[in-house]
Amino acid sequence: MVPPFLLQLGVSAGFIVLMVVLASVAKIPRANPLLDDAALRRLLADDFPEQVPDRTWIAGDGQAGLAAAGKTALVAFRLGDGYVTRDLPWDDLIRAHRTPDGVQLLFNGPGGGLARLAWPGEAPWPPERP
Amino acid sequence: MKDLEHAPFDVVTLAVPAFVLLIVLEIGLGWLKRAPVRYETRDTATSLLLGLGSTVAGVLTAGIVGGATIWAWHHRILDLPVAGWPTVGTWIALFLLEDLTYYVFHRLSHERRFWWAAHVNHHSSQHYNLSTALRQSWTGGVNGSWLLWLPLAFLGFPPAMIFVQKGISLIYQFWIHTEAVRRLPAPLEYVLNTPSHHRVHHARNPRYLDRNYAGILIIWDRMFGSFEAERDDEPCRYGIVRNLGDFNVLRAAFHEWWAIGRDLLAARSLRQAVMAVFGPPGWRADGQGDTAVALRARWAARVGADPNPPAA
Repeated sequence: MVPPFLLQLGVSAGFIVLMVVLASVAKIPRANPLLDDAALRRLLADDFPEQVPDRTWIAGDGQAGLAAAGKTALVAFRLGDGYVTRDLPWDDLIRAHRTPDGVQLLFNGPGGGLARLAWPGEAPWPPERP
Repeated sequence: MKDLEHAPFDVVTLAVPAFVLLIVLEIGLGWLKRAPVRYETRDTATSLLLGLGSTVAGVLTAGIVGGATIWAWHHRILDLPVAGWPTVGTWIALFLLEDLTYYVFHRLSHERRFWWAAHVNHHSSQHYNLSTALRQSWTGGVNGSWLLWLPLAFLGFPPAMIFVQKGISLIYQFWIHTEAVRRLPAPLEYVLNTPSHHRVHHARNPRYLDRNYAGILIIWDRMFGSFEAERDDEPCRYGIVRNLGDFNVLRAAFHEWWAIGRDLLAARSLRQAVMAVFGPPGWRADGQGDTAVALRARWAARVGADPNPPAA
């Protein structure tokens, strides 16, 4: 005989699968277009209102962006149907991992995150600032 | 006597089928484009798994919480009516006092990091839909927040009634996690916590940070100066000040505890250690932290607004 709590847990797990499948099939994510310069600046202004970007770069696929604000790098990258932003010292961009498609920036802190920036192989990383 | 110690049923468990049906209905409304409903698959999975995990965590601490509540009731200072018509008065008093207790708990859970660490996962979604409501805490039982309800038992409210009322409050708060309902009639918006008021609570716009802590009645926020109305010219941006970088359930459940541990290790004095645990979320020793008060003050200075306008 299955203990009632385990039974309840099992049934709940079944419902979870059902609801996740429904959410997936319904295809009703937030409309969130690819980044352009204006969208990136708007995102960063929301999250880092005191930082004024001197220069911005949009990843080749529009799924991420980078900004220089003084000695700080501001990064925005796509997560699901939204974007997540992070800041880090500009000099730390050097630790990004280069891949055939671009660069990856891993954020190891409690909030985590992996920014994937489609970045041309021939383009310098970190990008040159004005 | 035993009937008053243990609720004959768990009202939240009984409500689970309704939760499922309402989520299916909300998704259906979004699919039919009848309401501004947005669901992201992985976000939904994280929310629902956090809900499932919280039921397991709740079972692990239920014995202590239940035992302490029964013990407190055995040491009560009043014998409140629990039979016949006078019970109605007991229920009304409990409804008001439990809702006030919830307000205190909820405010503490936002304004002090030790309790925020357990509550933050409820706010970590960038979405606001009925699945977000089930994004419940895994560590709420271990941070002692349940102690806040013990005075009700000391006062004389039977444990069974307290647990039923807590369940009713939780069930009420489920349906307000939606963008499908715009606003209720004004008299209801004035008295009740509504989808509109709770959207503000889940928003991370500086204007909306740490506002609308209500459970069922919004009157507590109006009374204690924490009310903020939703504005049509400022749509809510949901989530936390620094949103999580993935949909990992364990990260959502524990990231703030991890951050507390990291900050404790970096503390250079007893004061810093105490503030790392019990200070406001976002506190930093150099005074440059992103606490809700600081974020709101800086925003108000930028736009020339009053950071603490009088409650409407």
